[in-house]
Amino acid sequence: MALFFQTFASAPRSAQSHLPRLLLAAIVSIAFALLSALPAHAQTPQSRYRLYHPTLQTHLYTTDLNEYSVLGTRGWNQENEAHRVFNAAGRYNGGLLKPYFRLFNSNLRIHFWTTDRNEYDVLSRAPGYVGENIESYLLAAPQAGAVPLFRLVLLNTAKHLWTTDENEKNVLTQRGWGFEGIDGYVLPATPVAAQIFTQAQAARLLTQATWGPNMVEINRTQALGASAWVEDQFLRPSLDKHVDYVARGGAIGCNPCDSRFINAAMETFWLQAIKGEDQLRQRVVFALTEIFVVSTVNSAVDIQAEAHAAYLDMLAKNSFGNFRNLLEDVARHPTMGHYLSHIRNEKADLVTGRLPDENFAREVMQLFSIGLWQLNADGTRRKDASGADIPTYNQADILGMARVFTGLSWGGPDTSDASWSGIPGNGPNAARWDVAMQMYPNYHSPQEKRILSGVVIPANTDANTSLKIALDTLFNHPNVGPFIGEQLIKRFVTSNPSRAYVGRVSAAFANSGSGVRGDMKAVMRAILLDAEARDDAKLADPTFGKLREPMVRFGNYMRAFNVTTYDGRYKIHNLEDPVSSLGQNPLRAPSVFNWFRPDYAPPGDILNMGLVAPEFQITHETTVTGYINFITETADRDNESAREIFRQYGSVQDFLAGNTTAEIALADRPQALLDRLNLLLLSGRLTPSTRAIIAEALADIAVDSYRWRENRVSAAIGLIMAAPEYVVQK
Amino acid sequence: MKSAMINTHKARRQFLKQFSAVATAASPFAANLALIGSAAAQSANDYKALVCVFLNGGNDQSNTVVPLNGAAYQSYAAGRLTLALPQAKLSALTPLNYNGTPLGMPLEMAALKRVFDAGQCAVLANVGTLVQPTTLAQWNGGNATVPVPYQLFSHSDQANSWQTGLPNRASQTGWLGRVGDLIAPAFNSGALSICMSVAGNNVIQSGAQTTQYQLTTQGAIKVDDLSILMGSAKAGAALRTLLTEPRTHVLEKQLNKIATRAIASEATVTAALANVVINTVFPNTQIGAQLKMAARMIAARQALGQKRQIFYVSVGGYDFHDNLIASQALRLRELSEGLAAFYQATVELNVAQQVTSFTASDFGRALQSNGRGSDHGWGGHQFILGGAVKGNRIYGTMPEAVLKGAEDVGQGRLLPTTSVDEYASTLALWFGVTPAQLETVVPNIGRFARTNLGFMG
Repeated sequence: MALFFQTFASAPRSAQSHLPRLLLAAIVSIAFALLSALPAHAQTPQSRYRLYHPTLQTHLYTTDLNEYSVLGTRGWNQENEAHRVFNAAGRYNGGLLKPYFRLFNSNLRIHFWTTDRNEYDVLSRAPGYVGENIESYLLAAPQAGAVPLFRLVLLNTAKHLWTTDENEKNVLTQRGWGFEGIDGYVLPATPVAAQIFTQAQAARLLTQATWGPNMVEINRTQALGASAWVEDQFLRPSLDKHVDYVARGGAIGCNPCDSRFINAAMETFWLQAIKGEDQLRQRVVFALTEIFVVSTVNSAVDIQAEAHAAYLDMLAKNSFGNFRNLLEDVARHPTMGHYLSHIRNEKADLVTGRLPDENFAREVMQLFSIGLWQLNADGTRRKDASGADIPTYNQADILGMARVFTGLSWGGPDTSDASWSGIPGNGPNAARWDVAMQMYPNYHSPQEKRILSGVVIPANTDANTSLKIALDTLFNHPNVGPFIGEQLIKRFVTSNPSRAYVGRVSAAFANSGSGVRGDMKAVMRAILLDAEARDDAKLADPTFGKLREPMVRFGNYMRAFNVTTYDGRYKIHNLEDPVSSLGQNPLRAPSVFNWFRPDYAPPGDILNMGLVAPEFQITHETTVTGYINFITETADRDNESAREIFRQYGSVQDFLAGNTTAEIALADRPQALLDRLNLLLLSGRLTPSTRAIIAEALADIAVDSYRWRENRVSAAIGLIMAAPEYVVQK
Repeated sequence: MKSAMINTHKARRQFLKQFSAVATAASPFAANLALIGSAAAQSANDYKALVCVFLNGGNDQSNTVVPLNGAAYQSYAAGRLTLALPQAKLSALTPLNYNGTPLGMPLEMAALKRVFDAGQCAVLANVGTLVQPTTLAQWNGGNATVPVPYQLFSHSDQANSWQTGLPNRASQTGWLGRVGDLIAPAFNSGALSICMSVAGNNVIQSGAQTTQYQLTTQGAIKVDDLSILMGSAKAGAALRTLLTEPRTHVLEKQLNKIATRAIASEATVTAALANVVINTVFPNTQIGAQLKMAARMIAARQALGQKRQIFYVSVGGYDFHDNLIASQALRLRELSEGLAAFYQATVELNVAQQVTSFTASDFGRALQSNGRGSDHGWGGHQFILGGAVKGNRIYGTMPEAVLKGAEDVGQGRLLPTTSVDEYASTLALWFGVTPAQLETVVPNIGRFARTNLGFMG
């Protein structure tokens, strides 16, 4: 709404005056008589959508979802379902319905609506106006569950606005608008989660919540709606266990099964990301790998595929579980134990003075649960009496927490010293990456542990109880909801959520609705079904959205064009080289601080506006150029043929060529081709100017030139995926 | 094997790419030739470069400059336990300005030690982030009675404080970026930023006007299809338009600003680097490759129209909680050999006197062992290298490597006795910042006693 007001406040006023209201005095009795003659039967409410055109500076209302959808790609900003009206005369819950007439002013290219038959008739004969008959029906009088539809006019113009929002009406009447009365009574808009989807809206949800839309999933999601899609995703199983892929040396049914070493972990990561039907889980796992970071870079776990596969399985298991379990499983995971060095961390040696390792103790607080500063539920920092930020912990708390994380080593039935210092292997007593670390009491600190929030774990508390108290203390800290919630919003929806949105996600973390704290399903529902995430009007907000991560962009390609491989293996072993590739790779973050920090802001406008854009931390001359080359090269593939030939020798793109048969069939109709790619890659948000630029380029690839169909498709995909309106997800 | 059809297609693409490379490189290169002429006419010798070598993770200073023998070694070994380097693994330093406890460096650092011994490398001891000079009494066991840096011992915050020079407030700029703001307009005629990074985005090179430019270890890379995409000139032009046109969405706008800069700079940089020859052999390591790129850009300075250059290189792997002995030996060898080769390259290019490189890191580390490594600390030791450095000397105050020593804030974490501000200010003055401008570069410098630590000649 803020944007709307701003636009209108600065809009030049048209010199043209609207027709005096007086002339159009209603002859209600006639209309009333006509309507009451109709038979009374139950009527079904239908959604009425609002759009805004920034150049024409006018609103349009339509009950036609297809019109709403198409206009959204033709320069109109979609402003969601505005309210619900009725599609036939009669009564609704006893209340009489009256017709709502639509007119078009061809001079001004604006529409006008009235329930006043006389006004409609007079205007229909006025110069420039065309009567367009009855659009829908409104309730004639107030009744339970209905709200008034206010009509306003921009003074001294013919521009009108209709709203059910009392606040909007009041604000506008102080900004040059006149209130003209109530046209009738309507039902409020359907709750967002239950609204009927357009294809574009379905594609947008899939863009936020999956590795990328494809046509099948767009249509399925459109039929389900947002809420049902999310619930459906919660139930979908994973394709496989990552550890099984690694143990097998390939996917289920592989032949030969010869995936080895860390490459096997990369392959199973991509296989599930691209092919898994549990797409939401796959994206949650990816988001969690960027919060609870383990990496093969500068790491004690640099080549062990089993270690990373087991860690991914653990994240998958907890994606829709409870955060408390996730936190403990992370803390007890041997892969994390190696990465942040708390496996085999020993109690202090009071003789020599050796102290426990503080590494995990620090990062479990700074990065995995509460962060550095005390937060309000909306994610803003709490202030002390002098207005200063308040740290969440101090060095003494770290010492206490380091004592907690002593005594952990390999899990399993054997708790002897041999197992404490054991190494992974294949024997019956071998240490296993997929078994949680356990406490070895002899190595656990018996000292008193002072941790944050004034909690003191008494001396000689048993090891597992110490850990439980510490993790419970972290889990129940008020920071966790806003700290983790805001990061997850940034991974799925937007880099700059409103404080209220963060607050709503924090509230869902604090209480799932049935009294459960830390329910990840409730958190994901709150993130994806929030009005701010689903609001079409946000598509026109110049600060909304996020930079798609390079890995996600490649994932989008592979899903949109159904990339399959000749042997079922996704041999995407390294995308890290920014010159020839993407500058980003799963499981290879440079440090536990991930590829980028959630509060990173690039110098310039974004920083100066007080906004953040985390993914810009890895976005610079090199990676921008590398990505463009990578994606145009990816798009420049000859469908099946190149893949078969290059599969043994080629680069990543060679054996991962997409199937563009459906696109190639549209090569002689560039606008239809662009419509398809617009939906698949841009959720229907291709701007008219970019469409024109690409269409001109496609026309330049002459019909009957060498491989013109393939070249047109490759050019169209490459140009769209290079375009900033694609790279920035809205 | 590849089929003939595919070969034809690939060959066509390759040909088109080569064609476009020639077409776009031509005009900026011509402009550069003109620039070379005017720069050369002024003064070929007026040149300086600063190279920041950032060690991500927090280098362990106690095993970098180490007490060589005697009681000092025994105290060190008592704190380090299994982390203590054996005396046989140390090579003695003989600093000219130092009468304290004998010191050594690990044998792995032999290459850098040779430069130190020859007088082109200095050590700055116990330097770290400070808001103001702080005593152990003022530290007061952690309940400090004077302002101290935010979030001490946190990687992200302390690395940020080192780079911004403002440890207890938010800053959008770094001190090398602010140096760039002051110096670039008077010295550099080319459009390329004075601040160049071979290691990705950083804060230290962000200025109010200065925008850092990112290079790869192979130079600048080119957008392949700007002239011809899929055989179409219009498609190539469309790609250029989409990447460079003004946008209203703030993220899209930022993206296109970067792409526009990348496209504009690439031709200039590639052309300038084309004829650069450096014979010095760099080690085949990440830091070696980054420093080699900096050396090549130094060699190309005239073609780039740059009389002042500021480089940022950086490597990770310095967070030695675990496996300290083996990991640090590897890291320090790479660092030492990379820095020594870089110094040698500046000799080869005849700019040794004009190029100064220096190290920085998140923080130093605790002396106290955790059994396998050391935990996050505060002050640490850094190296400054170059022909203009008054080397074979130790600056600042070398702390005792002992638990509960005069600077120990706990577990042998060092309260810094020299601030990052003083370190930065010494380098900035050498680079040409005037004393009056120092407060712009290091706003807190007035709180400290020295603006010049004396390590630059």
